[in-house]
Order: sequence, then C-alpha cells, then structure tokens
Amino acid sequence: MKAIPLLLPLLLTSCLAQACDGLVIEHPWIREAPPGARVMAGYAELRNEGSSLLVIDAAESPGYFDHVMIHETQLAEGRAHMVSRETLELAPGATRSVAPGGRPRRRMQPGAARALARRSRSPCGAGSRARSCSFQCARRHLDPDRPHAWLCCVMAGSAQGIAAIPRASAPAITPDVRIGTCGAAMACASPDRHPAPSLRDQSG
Amino acid sequence: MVSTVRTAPVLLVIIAVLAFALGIHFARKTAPESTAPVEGMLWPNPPRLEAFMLDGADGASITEAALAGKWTLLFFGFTHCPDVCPTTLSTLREVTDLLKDNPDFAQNGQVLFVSVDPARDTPAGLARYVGHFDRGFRAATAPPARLSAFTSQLGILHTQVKLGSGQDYTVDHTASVLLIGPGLERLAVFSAPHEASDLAARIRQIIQFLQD
Repeated sequence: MKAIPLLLPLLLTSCLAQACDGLVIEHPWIREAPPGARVMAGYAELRNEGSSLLVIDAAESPGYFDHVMIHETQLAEGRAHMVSRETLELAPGATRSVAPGGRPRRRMQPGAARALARRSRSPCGAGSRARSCSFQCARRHLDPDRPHAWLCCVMAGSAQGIAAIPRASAPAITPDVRIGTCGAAMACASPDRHPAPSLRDQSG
Repeated sequence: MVSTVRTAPVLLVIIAVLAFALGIHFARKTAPESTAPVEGMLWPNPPRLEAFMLDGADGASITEAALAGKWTLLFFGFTHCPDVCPTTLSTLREVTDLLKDNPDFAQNGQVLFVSVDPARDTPAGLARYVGHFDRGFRAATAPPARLSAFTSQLGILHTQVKLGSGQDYTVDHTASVLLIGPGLERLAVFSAPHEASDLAARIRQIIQFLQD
C-alpha cells in the first residue's frame, strides 16, 4: 500500500511516448531476507514485446527498499564479482532472465517468448505506454514445516539481479508471513533520450 | 647343439613377452588411479588441512578438531552478499536434504559457512544468518590475520571492493564449495555455479570411491 503515493506520479507521466511500452515482467521473486541481511537480490524474466529497443535504467521498490540497483554477478576463475549495471537493454522480441548465483545467461528467441506470453500474468504488458512499470514480486515458501526456512522458486537463467537494500521496518520480511509480496517498479528510457531521470527524481 | 642354439633366442623372446605382459597386468592391478574419479576431486594425493582457529557462532573456537571425523562442506561468503551467498546456502540445504539417504553423510556430514567479512559479521549474527537456511549449519569467522591464514591454505581469495564514494563495500570472494574428508583431507573443490543434484551426486561418488 505504501507504494501507491510514489507510483501515482509515475503513472501520470504515461503520456511520454517512449515508456516501457512492450515490457513484460514475468515470474518476479525475491528471497526472504535472512536475519542480518541488508542487501537482497530480486529476480525476474523481462521480455520486450514491443517493436523498439527498451533500455531499463532505473528500478525502485517504494515502501520496502531504500535503494534498488541493477547488478550483475560475474564468475571468473571461481570468484564471484558484483558489477553495477547502468542499464539493461532489451531488443524487440528478446527475453532476458535474471536469475541467482551467476548462472549462465540464457537468451530466448522470439518464438519462445511468445510461448511464454500465453501463461504470462503480464502486469505491465504491451500497450501500457507507461513511463514506468510496477509489478509484484512473489516470495514462495517451500517448506511449511520450517517457519524459519524461507526458500524461493529457482529460475534457470542469467547472472543478473536487482540488488535492493531493505528498510528496517519492511513489513513483508517478517518471518510469520508465509507468502507475501513486495512492490517494485522499473523505469525505461528510449535510447535516444537516455539517461532518463530516476524514479526518485520524478516522484519528488 | 645346433638345435639348442636356434631355439634359445626364440625362448628368450617368449619369456620377455610373458614378463612384459605380467608386468603390465600387475602394474594395473596394484597402481593407484592416476586420474580423478570425480570432477573436482583432488586425488590421489589430497592435501591435508593444517591447524587453524576460527571464532564459532556459539562463541567457542572452531579448530581442525571440529572437522575431524566429519564430511564437511565448506563455503566462504558474507551476510551483505545479495546473490551468490544466499543462493549457495540454499543449494547446500538442498544438498544435505538429498544426502539424507547416504548413511555416512547423514550421520557425519556438516556445512560450515565462513565469513570473509569479519568487520561486519559477528559470530552471533552469523549464527542467525545460517540458521535461516538450516538450523544445523555452522558458521564462523575470525580477525583478518587468522582468517587469512585459514583461507590462504585453502586457496580462497577474498578482496574488499569499495562501492561508490562512501564507506560501503562489497567483497569479491571465491564461490567454490570445498569438501573436507573425515581425515581432514581436502578432497574436492566444486566450482560455482552450483546445482544441488549435481553436487550431491559427486559427493556420493567420492564417499563411495573412498570406501571401495
């Protein structure tokens, strides 16, 4: 609910033509934060069903995370290295999976993306023409007998994730909530107008 | 006399061939395997873990004695790690579940998470952190000098990397999972990314191989 006041100004800017038109976000999820963790990673499958290149250049999760960044985990010679990414680019028809643990990147062909679209919940599908795109990030609890063992669904995919710093009072991170959601939003810029103002700048 | 002279070289050749064949036969039968039977396994001469001392999550020291007689899966990370560490600990939880039907590992297997960020990770905080993934997991860290003595003997690399212009930092670190045997042998190094079923299968193979 806290997300609404911050998201509203963003939706009012939806007349901007470049927008997130065509961006579909599927299967977003975030791991339940272990005690003491200050930084968490969220994952999703991103698909561009539009006809032009999409550049995702900002992300936020109002009400739940103080700051959201786009990161890539690189594995080189057995070492994990976290790299900040300014943008994520999605060509028309392309799908990019952001998945945990530095697993190899998987790119899907447009045909595969269309097959996925049939079972998509499409929270911000093609035609929305919104400057930003909000979606719900699901957490799954796979072991009901162990209330402290919050696990998650595992997606095959790439090495990119969205790192977020949780607020101390984040309501979705209490261990007695079995299945919860956390709001998140992404902003897109057209390549010719990049860099776009950040979400926080717009909402302020 | 002539006959003896003619047959002698033939006999010598036959004896030489037989000796050669027997030699190969016995060499194959007695020589140790020269190649690793499982990918990631350090064999036939696994190095032995040297003495070390870490600060355990319960306040007690963890030394090599805590690993003796155990199959230990060792992983290095830090609690501010957003991706690889929680992912690997989740995977290790799956691995230990998959190995519950292996009597050796079920009775004597353990997971030890070692923080390479002692400035931010206290032993008590580490206990809560790993307990989130599995209450049976152990955790430890140590001040830089003792930590480096431990990580360097295992070939574990860890480096602080500054984030932005502030004081915040992340830690680049080796993401491999190590298997230490009951005799403190460094049996295997499994490189990331990790898949639970693959890891469990390789650990089974190693335990079986060492019992044969």
